[in-house]
Amino acid sequence: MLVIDWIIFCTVLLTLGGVALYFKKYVKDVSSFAVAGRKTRIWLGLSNQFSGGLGLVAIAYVGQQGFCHGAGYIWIALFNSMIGIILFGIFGFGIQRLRASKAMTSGQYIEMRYSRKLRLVVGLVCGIGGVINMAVFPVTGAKFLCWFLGWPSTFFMWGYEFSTIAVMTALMISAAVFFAVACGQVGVIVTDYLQSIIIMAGLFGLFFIIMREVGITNIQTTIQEQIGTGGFNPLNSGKYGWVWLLWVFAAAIWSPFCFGPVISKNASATNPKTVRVMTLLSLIFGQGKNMIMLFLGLGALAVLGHTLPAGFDQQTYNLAATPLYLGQITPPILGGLLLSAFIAAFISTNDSYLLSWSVIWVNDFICPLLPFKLSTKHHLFLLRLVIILIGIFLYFFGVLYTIEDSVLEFLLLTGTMWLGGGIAVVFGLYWKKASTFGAYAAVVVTCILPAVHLILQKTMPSYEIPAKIAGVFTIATAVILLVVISLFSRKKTKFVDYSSDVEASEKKSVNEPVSI
Amino acid sequence: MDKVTMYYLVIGIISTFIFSIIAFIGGGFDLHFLLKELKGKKQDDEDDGSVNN
Repeated sequence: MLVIDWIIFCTVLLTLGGVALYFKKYVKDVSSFAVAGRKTRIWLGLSNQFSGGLGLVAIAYVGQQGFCHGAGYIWIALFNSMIGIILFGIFGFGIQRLRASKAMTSGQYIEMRYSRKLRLVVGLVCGIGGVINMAVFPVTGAKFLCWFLGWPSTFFMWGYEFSTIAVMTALMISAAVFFAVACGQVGVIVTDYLQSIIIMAGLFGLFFIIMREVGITNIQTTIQEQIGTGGFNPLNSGKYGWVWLLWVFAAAIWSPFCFGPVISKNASATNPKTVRVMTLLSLIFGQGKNMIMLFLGLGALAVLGHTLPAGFDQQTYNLAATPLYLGQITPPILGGLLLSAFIAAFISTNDSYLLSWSVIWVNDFICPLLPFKLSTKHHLFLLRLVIILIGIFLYFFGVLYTIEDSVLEFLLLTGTMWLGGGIAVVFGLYWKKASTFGAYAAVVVTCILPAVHLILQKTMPSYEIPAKIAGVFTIATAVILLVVISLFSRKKTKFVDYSSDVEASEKKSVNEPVSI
Repeated sequence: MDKVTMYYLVIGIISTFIFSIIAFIGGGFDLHFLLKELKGKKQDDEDDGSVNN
């Protein structure tokens, strides 16, 4: 990295910070802070979804998949997207009804449909699961940047030895907290739009460099030699297989209804039709986003290979290979742009995650427990305070906890913890008989089983059940319990059919605001 | 399978590159509309995530 690279990096970061502070004046109430006043139109929402899903940790883990298992991951991503395209993009399954309900969070809908007590449980489960899930982001991002920049693991200052990763983690979390606290969803949407331009410019620059220096034929030959047919066909790979696919598929169906960042973005859209079209385009072209990230790992595989260098164990090297390789091939000036892109990728994901999880903690857990209604000023203060507290937790959890499985599996497994909320939301939106007790069962099961798996994995060396089997078993058990318990329940439910609101919005223009 | 995978990979990346340029131009217009809407938006204390039973 030359001085010019650092000048580019600082200019980009200061500009984004200035934009965030400028947009603070648009935060007038809770809906502006949490869901941008529900005024997000299609292309802006799309840019927002694009950069939100293109975080530094996503680059790290998809790159890791490419480096370890070849190009087969793109078929899994395609399979996953096809289901999403048909279910959500074409039919608007659930996402349109949830937007029509005007709920800001899954917890809010659950209180409308089931009960306030269940909202508290879902708020707590989603809040804990969501924060633990994202706890791996900052430290993984910091490691990625240290490897990319070629920095040592420790450095000396004022006679003391500091961990580079711990300091980087603290700085990166502070940046994300700043963006989320300063201007809420309004600023997140605006800065995400700018960040997505920087991220895509950096990643496409890398794609063309790898194509020029390595070439597609070299990459193909390396995959064949080092991984074999499993590197192209995921079903031939011992790593993935049908159970893994089933787990990813099951998680993809329920997660848009309980995953805070997605719900916030959908709730920000002008109407249910905007949500559907935005999701459709995002799923079609999100494929390319996964492919670029995977391509970085494939480039690393072709050049560095699987031979373990000195000072690395296998698990660390799998994650480090992509950033080490990118650090080697990046020319001056592009280095500054790329560092800005990586930081932008980190901030754009983490600020929206911090925001949505704080909204869930405050709106779904803290506010329902209070005996009085908070004023707008105090509500906004509490949301900002919780963002800061989550930031502090992320730092300590990320620095102290060691991940046993691959990063992707850790994310999927902790992500399974809140799927019960999603299952309850979907059944609540479509099935009149879905009962409160059935919803309780789904939420509790999806919370407990993955936690038990993670604890056993940490404490029992003889425990050998893979994460994918634990994940599939958890989701299937939750669905079965909800259906069976609801069938035996005789209590009247608070079912509301939003299909007419959805149909009304489908007849209007895609960006036309509706007062649902 | 190997050739199909590699072609799909490269075509997917290039089409996303083209699409992202279109999305960024559209996003610029939407940003303009968002700011216009938010400027005229009055404070709404009711839409705060609570449920009034």
